[in-house]
Amino acid sequence: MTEKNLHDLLNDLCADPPTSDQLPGDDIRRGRRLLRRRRVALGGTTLASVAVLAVGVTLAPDVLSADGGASDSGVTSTQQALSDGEILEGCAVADEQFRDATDPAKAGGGTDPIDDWRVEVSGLNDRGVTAVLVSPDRERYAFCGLDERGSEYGDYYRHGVDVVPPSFDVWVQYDRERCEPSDPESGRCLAWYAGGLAPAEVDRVTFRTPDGEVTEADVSNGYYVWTAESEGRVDETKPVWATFYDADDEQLARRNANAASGEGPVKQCSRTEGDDTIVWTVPEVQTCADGSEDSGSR
Amino acid sequence: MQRRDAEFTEYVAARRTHLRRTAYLMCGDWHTADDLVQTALAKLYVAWPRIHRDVPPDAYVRRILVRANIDESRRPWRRERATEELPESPAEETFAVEDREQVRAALARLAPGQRTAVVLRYWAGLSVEEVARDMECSIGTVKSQTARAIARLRDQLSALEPTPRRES
Repeated sequence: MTEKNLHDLLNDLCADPPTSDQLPGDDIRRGRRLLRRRRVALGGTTLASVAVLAVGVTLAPDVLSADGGASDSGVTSTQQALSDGEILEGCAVADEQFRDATDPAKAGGGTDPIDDWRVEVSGLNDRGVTAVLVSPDRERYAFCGLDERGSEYGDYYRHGVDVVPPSFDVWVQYDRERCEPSDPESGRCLAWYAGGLAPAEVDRVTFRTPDGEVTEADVSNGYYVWTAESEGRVDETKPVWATFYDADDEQLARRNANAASGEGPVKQCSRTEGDDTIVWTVPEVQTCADGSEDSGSR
Repeated sequence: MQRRDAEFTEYVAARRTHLRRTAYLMCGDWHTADDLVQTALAKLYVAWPRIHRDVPPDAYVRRILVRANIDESRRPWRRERATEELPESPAEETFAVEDREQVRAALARLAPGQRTAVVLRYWAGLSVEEVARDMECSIGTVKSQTARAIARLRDQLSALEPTPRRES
């Protein structure tokens, strides 16, 4: 099945839409109705703001004395944690697709099912779970994203520790569909996620998102996953700084984890193993993993 | 308002069919597709002065369709819908009916994100970057979603001959 064949198949599937019962002007009527509602809502919000301000001016001293003036926004997630079994079950489906679509052996990930792998570390966000799975011999690992139902969502890959060894290299991904804004009417938000295998001396990893928030990754035996949400209009092309610390809280490395977002310069790294040359790409600002060699920027 | 209405009406007349097809391929049901398009066009009307000036209306509507479709797929009744149960299809002209049903079933088995990525990339002909903008996710996510969707479709549709009508 080629791309053109797929286009033709899809084209054929939607070639004969049933007659639409829309009358000319229906769309405009619906649009005007929505426009009126928005204006009414906006007016209502403005009035409510004025009222709150007025009450606030009157009551502020009492309110402040009662709760110290602090207001915890209390972002509560409705997300229920998936059990390790549910994570493995969801990731097994993603893994099967991954093995169909790519050759995991190339990255040292092997081709066997992941039934006996275990969840090394996982992190929750509003609409899903990001997890790192490790094989029984701990020679291979997989990075897996699931939605709130335990179905595959986002990225999945599996690697061999010998082929993609521990490093400070990290790539962040983002998804606006994977988070719930605290103000669903007018709010926007963006979910970030990342994961990987850091060098053994790493004890703690933090990420600083473009909105200035610093959050911690979940770390276990060098494997880490990180998820976070940024509220408001966040520029997803700005740097996300990952900082790696050892057990004494000494900074080991700092990387822009958002340098490979599709733009930005990258460079090739390569390593020779026997008769094979393994080549991969990293953002130009990052170093190639141990034992690798830069083959120049492009 | 008159100018907005005239421009908007002209746009809808030219693009409604294309938008319905896009929505249908994303969700797999013509009634749902019509609901999605109605929602998207109402929002487009509200934003028309800004959209018409700053960004192509098609891109704006696509983004609303993508978001609305994914929201729709999260609704509880939607989750319980059997994906094997296929709606009736109109008479076909290019591929055999059973082939069309197979394509519809294969698409229905994809996760919403995978289906959207495939439709935008291979039917609408958008670049990976454009799909990432429409789906509001990173390029890597689009690539991985697309690759796995294609693998699944290839697996399920490998027996199909993408040639004109086969006589039974």
